Amino acid sequence: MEPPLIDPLNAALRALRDIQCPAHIQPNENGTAYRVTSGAFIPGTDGSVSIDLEESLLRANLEMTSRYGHLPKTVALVSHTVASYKAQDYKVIHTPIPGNDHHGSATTARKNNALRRAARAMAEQVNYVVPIDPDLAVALGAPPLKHAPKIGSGS
Amino acid sequence: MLTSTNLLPAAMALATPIWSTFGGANAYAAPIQFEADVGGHVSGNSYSPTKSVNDRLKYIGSLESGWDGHLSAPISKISISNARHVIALVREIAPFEKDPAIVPCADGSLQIEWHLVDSRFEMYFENDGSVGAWWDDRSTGREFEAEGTEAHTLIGHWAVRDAVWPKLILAA
Repeated sequence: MEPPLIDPLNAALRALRDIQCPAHIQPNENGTAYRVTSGAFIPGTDGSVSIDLEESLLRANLEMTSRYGHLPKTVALVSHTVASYKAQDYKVIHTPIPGNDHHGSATTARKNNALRRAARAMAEQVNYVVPIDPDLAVALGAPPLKHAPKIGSGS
Repeated sequence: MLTSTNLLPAAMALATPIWSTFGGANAYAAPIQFEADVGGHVSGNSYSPTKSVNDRLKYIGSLESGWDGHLSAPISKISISNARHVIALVREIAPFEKDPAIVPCADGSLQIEWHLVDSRFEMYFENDGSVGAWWDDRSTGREFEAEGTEAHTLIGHWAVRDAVWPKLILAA
């Protein structure tokens, strides 16, 4: 039986996106930390960005991280509110797929530079649910940080 | 296919006016601090893409459908070819401290990104062969966007201004 579609979605709740490594992370300009690139928010061939919906997870009494890591090269889980997507002209809808009742799609009619502009805004507004582990990032093929903070240096 | 006929000459022709427009020598007063792996990038006369760039493009070319989840596509050959060409041409114009980030996108397009302390430049290679560009000039707080031929001109402007070589000249 197909799950009931949630419509409308609560705009204050979050949309979660797995971040692929090394595809969608890069060292920042100082080489001190990784950043999520705007490429993570460019829609796929169906014109949508794949996300998981907090509202659906909450209704199923699941943790925000319950879907995390379902792709093999995931290095972080980031979130935006549904309202944040809407502010960049993405339309967020609940689109369950086989094996994931909590799947959502963020679609946009924007193209070319207008789309890239929206994707950059999304990349700059990411909130980490699962932050990037630098060691895992390197293990998955990301360029190493050049000036990684020293843990326990006391400074 | 992007060629040197629409990128390199534009950048070279613009070098002098751009140099003065952006503040001339005073804009580059601070000597650059090199990373350990920079030497190979700025010495020698041949600025073909580095091994790391070629490895990265090879990896991106190997991505299969579904690499980024539901309905993500392999990266198109034309996007990879155009990106490789632009990277090589930028290296001919002027050396940079580091190679660009090369980022695959779920729709099969590709973008290259130089995120430097003073500026961020990104160029976008769509599946249909079209291109776009964005320059965030942090030193002036100005942003520029361009598509098509104007994107080629914009990357020429940026490369001439923000490359390592004018800083090297002033540091000498």
